[in-house]
Amino acid sequence: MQQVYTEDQQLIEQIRKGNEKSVVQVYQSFKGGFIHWAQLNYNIDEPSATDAFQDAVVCLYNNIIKGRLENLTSSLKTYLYAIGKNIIRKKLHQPVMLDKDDLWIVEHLKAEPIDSFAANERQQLVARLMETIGEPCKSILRLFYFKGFTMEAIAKEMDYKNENVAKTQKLRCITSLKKMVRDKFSGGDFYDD
Amino acid sequence: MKTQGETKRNQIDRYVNNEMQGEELAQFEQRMREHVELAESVHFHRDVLQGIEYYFIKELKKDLIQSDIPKPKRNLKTYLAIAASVVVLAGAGLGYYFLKQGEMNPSGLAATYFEPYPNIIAPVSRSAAASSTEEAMQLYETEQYAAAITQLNSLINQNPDHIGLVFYRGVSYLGSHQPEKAMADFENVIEKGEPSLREPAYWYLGLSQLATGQKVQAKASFLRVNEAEGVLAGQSQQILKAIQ
Repeated sequence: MQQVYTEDQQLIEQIRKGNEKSVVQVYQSFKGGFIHWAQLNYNIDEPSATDAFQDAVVCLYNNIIKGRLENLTSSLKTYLYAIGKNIIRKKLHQPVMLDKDDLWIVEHLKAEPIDSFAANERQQLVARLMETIGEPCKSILRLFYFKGFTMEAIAKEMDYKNENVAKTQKLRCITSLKKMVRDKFSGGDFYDD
Repeated sequence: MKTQGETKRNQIDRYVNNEMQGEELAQFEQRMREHVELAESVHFHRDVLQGIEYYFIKELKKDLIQSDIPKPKRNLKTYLAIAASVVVLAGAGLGYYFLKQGEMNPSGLAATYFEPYPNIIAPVSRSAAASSTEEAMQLYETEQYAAAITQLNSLINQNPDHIGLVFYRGVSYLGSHQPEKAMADFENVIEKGEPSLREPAYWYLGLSQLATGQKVQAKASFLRVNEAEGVLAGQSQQILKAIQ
């Protein structure tokens, strides 16, 4: 019979609704245990274990927002440790054995170190340009791409008349970001859409 | 009606977000193979979206790192600031009540909420040998704002980096019904000021904006008060609800 992880499920619901404090709560709840466990089992120092765990929490968040983690089949701790193990394996190149449950989690979720989320020069440039994009673009893009809000919810949050206004504004923001990227890359080698 | 450009952008976006299926997907991929420009547009769009995602996940990681840094213990100044905000709140409940009853416009609301921020930079000794700052703050405490502004102007000219003086001049401007000048001072405090004055600066900036009828800008300022999660956040939320 499948075990029910009510408390963990509630935390996940809070994160899905955009409550960022719940992400920090998850991080602080499991961090100490993970670091201790990682140092005990692998040849890594505390800063590396902490860094791996931070990546694991970010991955968990991303999976929740992207709808890859609807209902828990294990405890939140099991998910975090499986993702964390995979990150130690890949980022710190440690010989980590993943058991059957870990493998299932890693295969069903995105469980990569965050550095591999964006690898190429253009993606890195976009990330840097995001620092300068200003409002309301930063908020709209954050709500849509990072918090998984619908356009209707964004319109409500940002006080727009309706979701079409929010959509148009989002499109303007993306277009403006693309223009900034093109301006940085000389030669205009991108297709002008 | 959608233009050709909009349709193409929409298709690229749907493709990158895995929202295409079946025949439509096959046709789009065929077009990508035939038109290198389209393929490049798709790659470009994907890079932009992944770059955005990358930026925000790095921000989240920064938040986690930040949560590991122990918060400093409150100093005397902070306690005074909390006491000050309690004074500010005294008017807030009344303002909210009136606005809820539909009896007050935004500028009236600003006037009702306004309470001078307590003097936390130069406690007034009331001795004969009071310093210029004490004199200015004594005028401020007794709500002689015009005279306080004159004194504060002189002090700020001598010491333009004293952001506390700029803050109190802003409050004095607001208290003497000069919200435009008050806004300039609060914006200056926010830009250069020390963290302990940031929340009240946004609070008074919001009130100044309400006083000049700038509801949208006021809303943004009160949202910043909320973000600070300090003692003014609850009342700021009430104002936000009320002005919406």
